[in-house]
Amino acid sequence: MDFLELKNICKTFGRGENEVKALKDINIKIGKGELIAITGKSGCGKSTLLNIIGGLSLPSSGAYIFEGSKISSYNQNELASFRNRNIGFVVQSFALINDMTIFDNIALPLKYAGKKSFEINKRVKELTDKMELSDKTSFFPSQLSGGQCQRASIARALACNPRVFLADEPTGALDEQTGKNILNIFKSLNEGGMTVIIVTHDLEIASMCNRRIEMKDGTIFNDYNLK
Amino acid sequence: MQIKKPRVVSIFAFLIFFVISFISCIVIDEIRQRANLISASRGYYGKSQIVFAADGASDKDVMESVKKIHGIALYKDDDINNIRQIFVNGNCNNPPLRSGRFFNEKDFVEDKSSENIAVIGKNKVSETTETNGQNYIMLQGVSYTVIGVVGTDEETPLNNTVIIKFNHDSYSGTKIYKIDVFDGNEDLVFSDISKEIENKTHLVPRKIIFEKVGLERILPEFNQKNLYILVMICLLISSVTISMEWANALKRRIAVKRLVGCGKFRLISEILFDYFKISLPAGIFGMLFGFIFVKEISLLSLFAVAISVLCGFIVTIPIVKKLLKVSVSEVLTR
Amino acid sequence: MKIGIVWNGIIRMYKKHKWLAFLLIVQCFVCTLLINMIFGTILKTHSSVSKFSRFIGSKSYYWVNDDPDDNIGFSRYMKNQNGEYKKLKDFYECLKREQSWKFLSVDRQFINIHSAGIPDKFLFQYEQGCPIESEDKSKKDVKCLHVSKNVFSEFGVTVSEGREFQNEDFHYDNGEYIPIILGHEYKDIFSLGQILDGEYLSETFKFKVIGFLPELTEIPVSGNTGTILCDRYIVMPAFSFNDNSEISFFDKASLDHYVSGVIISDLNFADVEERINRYILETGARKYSVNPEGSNVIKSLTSVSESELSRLIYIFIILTIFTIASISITVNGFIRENYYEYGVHLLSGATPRFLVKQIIGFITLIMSISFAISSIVGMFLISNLAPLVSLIFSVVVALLSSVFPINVVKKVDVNNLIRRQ
Repeated sequence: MDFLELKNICKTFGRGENEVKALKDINIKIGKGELIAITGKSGCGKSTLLNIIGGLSLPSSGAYIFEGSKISSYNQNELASFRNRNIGFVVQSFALINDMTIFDNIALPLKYAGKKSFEINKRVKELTDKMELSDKTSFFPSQLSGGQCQRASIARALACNPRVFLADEPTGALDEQTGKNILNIFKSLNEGGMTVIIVTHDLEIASMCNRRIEMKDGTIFNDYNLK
Repeated sequence: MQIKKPRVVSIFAFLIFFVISFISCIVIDEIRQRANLISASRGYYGKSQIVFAADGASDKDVMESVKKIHGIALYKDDDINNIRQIFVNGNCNNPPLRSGRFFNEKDFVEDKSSENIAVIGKNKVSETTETNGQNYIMLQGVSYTVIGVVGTDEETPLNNTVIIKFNHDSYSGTKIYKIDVFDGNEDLVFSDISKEIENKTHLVPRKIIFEKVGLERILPEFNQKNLYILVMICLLISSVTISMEWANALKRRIAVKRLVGCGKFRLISEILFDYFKISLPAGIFGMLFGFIFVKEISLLSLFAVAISVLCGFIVTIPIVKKLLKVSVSEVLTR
Repeated sequence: MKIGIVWNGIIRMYKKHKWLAFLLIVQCFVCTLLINMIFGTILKTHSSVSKFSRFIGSKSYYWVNDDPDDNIGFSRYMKNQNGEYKKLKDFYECLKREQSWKFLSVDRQFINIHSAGIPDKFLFQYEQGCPIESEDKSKKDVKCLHVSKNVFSEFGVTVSEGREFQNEDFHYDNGEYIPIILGHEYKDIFSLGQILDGEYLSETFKFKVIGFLPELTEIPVSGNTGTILCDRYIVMPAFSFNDNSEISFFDKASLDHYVSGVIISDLNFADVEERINRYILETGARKYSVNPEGSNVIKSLTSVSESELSRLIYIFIILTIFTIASISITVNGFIRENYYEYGVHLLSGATPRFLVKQIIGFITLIMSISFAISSIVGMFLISNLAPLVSLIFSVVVALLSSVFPINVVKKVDVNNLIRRQ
């Protein structure tokens, strides 16, 4: 059984004259511990595909199976629970709440998972130590640099020990060095056994991954292992 | 020409101002109509009228005495024949008009004193005759030109009344005279009138404390002023909240405009112009829509809408100024 | 823990939009107060109007009066020529006995009270501008109303102090007091149990105050206005007569007054008039006329006051709808302001239900604060029912205001967050 499988996934937006087919018959199988880059030009459907994998939206047709469970038939509450337990998501704009401290931002998924206070405190400390943000927990996102914000975002994504780590243009808003530092974090996560999927248009980032899926006009153009 | 898609917050602002003006038309009109109806049921006098008896004095004596006092209206009623005599010196309460006009001060100047004009209640219209586009009504063999029709939707004594000028002694009615005072203190005015009547007739008029009449006996006190105030506060707060929200939602727009080089003054004037582009048409449409349901839009409704728009406008200024101080990059990147 | 997250979310939302939340609370408070005021007025109006309609407005009246121009007939009666007194008494009995109507003896009079301290407003014909004034200033001719036994019960009249007339009050034995009930405005002048000397129809009597009427008590009496306001009246019983062979002036005068009254009947005017004329012919009494005009005045008062009640209810409904719409739209604005934040919550594993609870909780918090303040203020300024009215209003508004924002929140799309929209 594959860890994660997408069968004949289609996704359309809009209706009638305004209908846009963002994904057309996507078939992918992903194993545990893979480090995958999804590349393609702007508007090819990379982010849409990532959203479906991350349980942020449901496909218009087709099946999304995750460890034997058919995620594409879940309702909203089940999807939320699925995201909370299995998915860690990082985006280009960091997705941090500006008037919450870094501590509260990182603790957010843990609260939704129903963890007790002492568990939350312990886990957040672990993550902030790992992300070198121990002295920034009481700061607000506006007081941190881009790189620090992205590390906080990663810490939050890792809070509930997700099975899959998804990153949508994670270094788009960062300088080259900071970007490399972030990618190193991803690599270390992958080395720890986590499945990491990165959406990027940057070929250099793509070259760091083990597998590359190229997309074009909503379909998979190419899917090959790099290493 | 491309039509810009309006922002959602602007649509809401439009809706709120529309609702504010509509509500102000309806509710303020309803409150006003209640007050009018109570007034009509009591004969359409002012609430603090002076009622007095002048035994032995003729109507002419009383009127001559009252002529010297400005800012009053004098009435005498014949309840059996439903005739009211009126003399206006300055001002008077206008009953709800259906058509034409009510009496005014000009009808009582010397050269018009012999004109036989009348204002009739709506139920009396069937008794009029029309000649050359002018309506006339006969009262005890005398023809009166009808200058206006008054009346309420509900049946009140006003609907059956004929109101004529005061210089007709043939309508004796009762010995009771009523005065509405619009200018000055009622007690002082009555004192002046008493002195005039006493000088003329050597008789002292007697003030009468009248018991409650009309609907006031059945319906409880209705604090009209307090209701108006509370309704106005509701409307004002609604306009302030939506204006604040509208202004706060401009954060990103302001940042982008500043990014491309828009000056501070120009930015503020554009925002305020946008505000009036939403609030004024909404207010006007609301009033027009309200006009379908009410017979007339009162000045108070217009005032309520104007003050709501103005307060909303005043509230947006500090918010916009605050937003101008926020860093552009912070807004656009976070 | 989940409740804790929701509560924290509510507090954060409140703190983030402090000023707007404050204004929303003030608006809800003002609306609740307004609703309380109008509701209080509706209740009082309804009570007053329904009492008037039930006891007075729902009936068909005919006023029975003698012919005021029939001086010859009146003079013959007072001289008791040809047994005129007995004829009138028989006619009176016919009126009372008739099965197809209820006859109530109620008419205005004056009685002479030996008290110098009575203000002019109580004098007979004071409001008409020509009060009757005695030469003896220690005596006053004051307004009086005589009523038969059935008048109070028929018109729902009760006393605010003291007692109502009882059966024995309608029989006068010489030397006894005549019990009188005073109108509300007499409260500052006389007291319960006070004995007053006076004259009625040229006879000297002692009158005993047995009760006071509530303010604005109305009784239908023949006349243009249809009803009279009893606040300045003395109400006395129309007592029955002793069957003496000697018929005094008092007997004749009082009978003459008692025949003037009110007929309440479902019969039409022509039928009532026909019966009256028949009784006059049968008994040989002098001419009495019947008139339906006052009934129209009463009916128009009833219909106008009922339409006033509808108007108040209309204002009440409109203001409630306005409050709901206003809060709904404003809270919706809060949601749009927090769209990004809600997206992050959803991304982190929150369910849409969490957001819905947060919205409901926020609206409930706003309504609770305004309810608390408006209940206290309303209880002091308006009525004791204010807390209950505020509670019902707050609950209804909170529920209905939540509908629209909840629908919006359910549609929050995390994708828009990812796409930075």
